[in-house]
Amino acid sequence: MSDVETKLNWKERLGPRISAEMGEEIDVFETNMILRKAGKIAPKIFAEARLRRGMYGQRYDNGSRHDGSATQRLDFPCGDLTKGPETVWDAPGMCRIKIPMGVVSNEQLDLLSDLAEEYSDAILHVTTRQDIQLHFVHIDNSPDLMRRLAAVGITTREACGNSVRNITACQYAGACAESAFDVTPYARAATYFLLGHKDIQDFGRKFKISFSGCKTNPCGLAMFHDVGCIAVTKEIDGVAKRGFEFYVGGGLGAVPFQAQLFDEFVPEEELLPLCQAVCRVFSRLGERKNRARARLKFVVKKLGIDEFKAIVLQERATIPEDSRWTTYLAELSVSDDKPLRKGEPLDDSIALPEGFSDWREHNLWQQPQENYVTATIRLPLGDISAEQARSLTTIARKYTGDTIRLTVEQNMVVRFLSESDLPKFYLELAAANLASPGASTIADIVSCPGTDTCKLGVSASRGLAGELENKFAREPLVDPEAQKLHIKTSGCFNSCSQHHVADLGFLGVSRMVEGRRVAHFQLVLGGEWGNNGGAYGLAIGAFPSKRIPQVVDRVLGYWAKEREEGETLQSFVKRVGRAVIKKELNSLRKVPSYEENPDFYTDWGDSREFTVGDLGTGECAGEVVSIVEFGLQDAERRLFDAQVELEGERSGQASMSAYKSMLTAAKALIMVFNIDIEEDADRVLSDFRKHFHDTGRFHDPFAGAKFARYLLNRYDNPPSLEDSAVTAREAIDEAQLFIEAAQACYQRMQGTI
Amino acid sequence: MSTLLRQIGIKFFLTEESDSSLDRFIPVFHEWIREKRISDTLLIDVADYRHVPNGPGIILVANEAHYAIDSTGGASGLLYSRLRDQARPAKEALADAIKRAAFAANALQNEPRLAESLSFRTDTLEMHVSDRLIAPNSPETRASVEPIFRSVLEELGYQGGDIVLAQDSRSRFALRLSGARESPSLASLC
Repeated sequence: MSDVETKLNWKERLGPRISAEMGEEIDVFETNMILRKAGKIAPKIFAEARLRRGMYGQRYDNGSRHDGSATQRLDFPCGDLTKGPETVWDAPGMCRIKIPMGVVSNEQLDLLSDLAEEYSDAILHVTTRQDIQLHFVHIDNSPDLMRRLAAVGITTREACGNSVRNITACQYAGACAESAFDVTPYARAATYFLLGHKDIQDFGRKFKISFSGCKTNPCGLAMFHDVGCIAVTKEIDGVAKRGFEFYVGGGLGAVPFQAQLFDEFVPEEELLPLCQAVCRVFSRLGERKNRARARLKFVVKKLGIDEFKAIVLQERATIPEDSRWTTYLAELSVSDDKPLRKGEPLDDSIALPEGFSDWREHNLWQQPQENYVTATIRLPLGDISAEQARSLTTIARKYTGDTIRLTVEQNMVVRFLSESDLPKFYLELAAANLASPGASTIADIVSCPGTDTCKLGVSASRGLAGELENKFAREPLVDPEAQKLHIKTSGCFNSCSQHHVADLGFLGVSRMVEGRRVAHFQLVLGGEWGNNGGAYGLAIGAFPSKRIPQVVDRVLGYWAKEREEGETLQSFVKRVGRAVIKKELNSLRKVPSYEENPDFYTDWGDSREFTVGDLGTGECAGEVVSIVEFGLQDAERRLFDAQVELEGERSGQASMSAYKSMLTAAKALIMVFNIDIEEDADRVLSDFRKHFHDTGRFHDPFAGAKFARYLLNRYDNPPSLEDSAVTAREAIDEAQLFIEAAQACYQRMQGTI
Repeated sequence: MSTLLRQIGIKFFLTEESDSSLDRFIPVFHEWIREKRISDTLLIDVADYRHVPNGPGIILVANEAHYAIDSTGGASGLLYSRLRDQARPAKEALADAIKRAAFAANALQNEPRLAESLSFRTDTLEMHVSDRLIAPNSPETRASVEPIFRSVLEELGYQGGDIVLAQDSRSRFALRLSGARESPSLASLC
């Protein structure tokens, strides 16, 4: 707080609490920010680097916003500086924080609360893929934010962009009687094995993996992931062996695909190598140019599952053995869950608190461990305030220890709660406004950010979800079958709320009515949430946003009246058919004139006249930046480090960094021919000679082999810490020319490969 | 050594008679953006957190700060939260934040659509510092900041009242003045 203390920064303050590897990654990102500000990194490359660090764009970050009457320019102080194509540097963005398997410790959640207050809007948002998102974050704050996360073991690395996203798993894993076994350690092993792995750095699009403990429950949602793993056991030679039903090629988005069975039993020791092989095949065969067809599902569809499988198994056979494939198997019995209190039964004879019964009906999950339950903390629209999150960790510390997990329904669960503690636990939750009943019922609506913060949002999915939640709170449903349904609302066709697998799914669209735009939602009816998201719904038609509550009533009423004994909504929709249901709802498609009811021309929670003028270019697809481009950029960054070192009178270090930058550039080029090239200087030089020097490929049209010789000479006369400033300056100049020659070489190759 | 602060928040609380229902602030904040009602601040968007109990409510998002109809802790008010600023002498930083918060609260009080049912207390206000690096929630921070806070308040015309730590130890550092004998009007603080 004093002058002296303010010179400290988070990097110095946290020091050894951050692992060397994570610290270096963040330093690299911070340097890239400096280089971008200096115009030394192209916007496209910085955008993908930013996305791979979890720093996402947000609505209005192109520097304009429609105010209901006209589009206004937002004059951010940074002027023309951008952090990606058409993305203004100063514009607030979203930070996606990976929480593998949704497992978050009390310490981590406390820290996340602090970050939400300091850098965001005091809200933690839980996503459908068990991430935490902070909104309205300035990119200048991102290095400190990442360092503070790193100090508690959290990374944002590969949370966005063309990479393996957060790996999800059942929130009940290890606390579920229906699962074959606890998938947590397997999901964790896959997370850290693939994080930053060289085989996932050159994807054309994102890649999602999930783990489920059983076939039936909707926790892991294996059926719509690129790779979905369902725990199974198989008796082999009289011994029950663990493995996974292995699915590939599922995905939602505009074109939903059911995952296909790759193998009904992949033994546990084959799990990681098989995931790696699938990644390598995706990296090699995935589409690059057409972003809409670049997911794995299109590769599987194009090849057919049999050919895809054959290619993957062929790839698997070529991958060098990696000890990490199996080392974790020795620690499977080590559980995260260390119950704080002995499980005791609830004494039902005591007076229970008001509201407890309602809460207990839907918010508790009976664990197989005697007298323990898991409690769901229902979060409205996936949001929890920083203060509430701190209250939750206080409660968790008191009753259960470190056992909080995030769920794919945007809630949190607290596990290993002794039944005898339930009334007190409930009262403490209620005091923090965290005891909403009805978890996983029709009233517990899942929503993507939609027009609130997403550049692709067409309609206000959160506004609609909030309205429907209020409606169900005002008019609780009495039909127990209807209570079991699920509603999910997406702001566009991209299905971030997973609307295809909802009983009633909605996706935002717009329609022109008498020359004005009107927010609408397309109704998708009869998807299956159970069975790992087992079936997709039917599109019924678009309805005005302001009529959706009526649409919900009409659908539920019609189903209640016409359904057969025990008939689910999904079966009902199949039996009755789309045309009949559409006709039943037809009268709700009408939009009154503006003069008659102007409310229809605004969206939920937004007083501006509705427009699609704020739609921007989404970053879900990331930027297609090849692994070679990333490598060349890394060389630039190392050269920048060399310059800083020289200015800091560390000439020997500068000389070595300059040499390293040349090796990095050479290695990047070699990856065109040999993706597995190692860091080792001998190998890099050998391959550089073979592919670039001896073939003349690297030669400059005018200077010939001059620039290549810079590297070869430095290799023969390596730099040392004793090098003078003059030598270092010379090394930096040569490295600069070498890297430019490497860039030119790559550009020439792109025209010929 | 002078005490430096940044990321200061100031909250003016609504009177008990005020209508704190959040819906009505949404069109007001959209209009403020459209009309650029806070002259030296880039207003960006309105964030809707009506669904979070005792949360930030409705936020007018700006480049430098957030203006929220906030009910954290159960009491509603206008919370000005500075997000992006350099550390500067605490006295100057506090006075500036109070001025900016008062400007927004006063403007809300004078909104034709809200005026009849909205007023702010001036005998009570809260300050916080979000930046935990510069001002951790500790006795040392309190010892350093509280006298400066009181001095700023006195210079602005506040007299008397108690200053207490407003949050638990894990929350960001916050002080609350309550029960001031005399307090200036919002208009005079702007």
